[in-house]
Amino acid sequence: MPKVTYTSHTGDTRTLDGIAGDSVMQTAVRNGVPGITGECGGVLSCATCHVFVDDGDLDRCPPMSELEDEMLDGAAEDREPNSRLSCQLILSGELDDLHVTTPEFQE
Amino acid sequence: MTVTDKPVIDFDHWSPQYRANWQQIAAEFHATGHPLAWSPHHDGFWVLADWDAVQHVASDWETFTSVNDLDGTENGGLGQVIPRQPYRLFLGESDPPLHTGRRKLEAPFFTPKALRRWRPVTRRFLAEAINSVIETGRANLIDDVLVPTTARTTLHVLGYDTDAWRDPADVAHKGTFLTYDDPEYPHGQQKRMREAFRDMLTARSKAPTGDLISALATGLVEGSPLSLDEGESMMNALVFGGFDTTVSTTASALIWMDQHPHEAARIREDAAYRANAIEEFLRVRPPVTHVSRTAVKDTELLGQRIAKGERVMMWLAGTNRDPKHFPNPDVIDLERANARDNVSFSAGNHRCLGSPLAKVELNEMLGTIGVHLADMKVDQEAVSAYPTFGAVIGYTRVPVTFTPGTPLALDEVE
Repeated sequence: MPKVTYTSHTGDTRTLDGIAGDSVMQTAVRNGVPGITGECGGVLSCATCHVFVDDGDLDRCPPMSELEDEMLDGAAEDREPNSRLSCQLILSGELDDLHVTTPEFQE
Repeated sequence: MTVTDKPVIDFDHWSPQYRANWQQIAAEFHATGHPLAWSPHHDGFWVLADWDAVQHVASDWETFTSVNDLDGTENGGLGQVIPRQPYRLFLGESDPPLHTGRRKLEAPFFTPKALRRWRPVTRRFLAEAINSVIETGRANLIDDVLVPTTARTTLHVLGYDTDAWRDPADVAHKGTFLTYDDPEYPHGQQKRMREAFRDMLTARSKAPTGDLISALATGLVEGSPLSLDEGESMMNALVFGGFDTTVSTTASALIWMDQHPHEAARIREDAAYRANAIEEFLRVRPPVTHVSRTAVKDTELLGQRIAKGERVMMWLAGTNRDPKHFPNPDVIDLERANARDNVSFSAGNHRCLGSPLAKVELNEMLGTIGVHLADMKVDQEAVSAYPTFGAVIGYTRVPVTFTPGTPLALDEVE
């Protein structure tokens, strides 16, 4: 099972076994990981599942769509070069052992 | 095994029986263990209230279209509302890629950053509405407080004159519970409002100002600008989507809070409790009754054969009471762990874009109305609900009395 590690803005870390095909957002919401809201359920209309992907993992993530790029501009905490919306990061054999940090605010 | 016989339910969401008994209808439907059945009303449609299946139908747009193919040139879709509406909603009643492109024009106005601009706007309009009644000691919460607050907030986001809210509010309010052929239907105001929308779209296309109307007037979808019909329809939907929906759930919550003073006090004081309470109010008192799809190919749902061309109504109010997803669904539990799984804003690609704004408004109104209107009591006997619940479960009158106070100081709106 693909793993995801979530680190909060204060440094608390939690590693979860995800399910291939689920997103990093879904995995967080289902397991009660704080720091990810996912208001819209994963259809790129809310920008409340913002995460910072560890630099070493960034290249393994799928390319960003124009819509994700635009929505990230509206995230509660300002975006960084390693920002992604975690509903677009789908776990798989390739996207395994991913490390992300959650922002202080999503809303 | 696919079942081809149709289980039938005598279900008409526009009937007096539905208005009086919809919660019981939901409980009985779920008690069958198979909340998918064919209603013979309104040319026939499937009623669906299974939470998992609703997620599937809402997401699988290649099987279940949202299109309202009024001129018969697209896929035969019958639109989002039952009975079918003669006015097309170009955002709601479309599929990707057109839907994605149209939604993209509006989405930036509802992001967390955008909401930081709208919260003080809501607060200001709420304070102005409260000030219009605060010295009198009595009000109809609907017309005096909730409608002006939500209507003016939505119009502000659009970029429309917020002082000209009465026509759009009347259209949204009456248009929600009256059918097109009702003599009271606000055809005149609707015509005026739509003409005003077209004029504004034309003006903004020449001189954009950064508001939502400008985004619709200048934005490109699949490389082309929106037509005036499309732009007008999308503005129309923002008005219908943003006014009476939020008003209805707020009113339901305030009526309930009046009967539960202990919980009401906690809602006003505890922000985390309030946020979950709002989700639970949305679950048990969803404003929007249903959203529909049309099967564009033969398919199967919960083991039942669905034929091409048949409509599937996602009965949102009934789905929120699916006991497989929400144990003891008729119990209002403001601390329910999965209350936010309610489908009151629909699901999938068409999930309500304005839901974060609605929650900001609900938060402000539930948190502060009972503080500003001191000792507020709802005259429960005089509460008057919509004459029909076919589209929205809402209210025409919620009279309240309170201890008269002095007007609130008004903060500046950005």
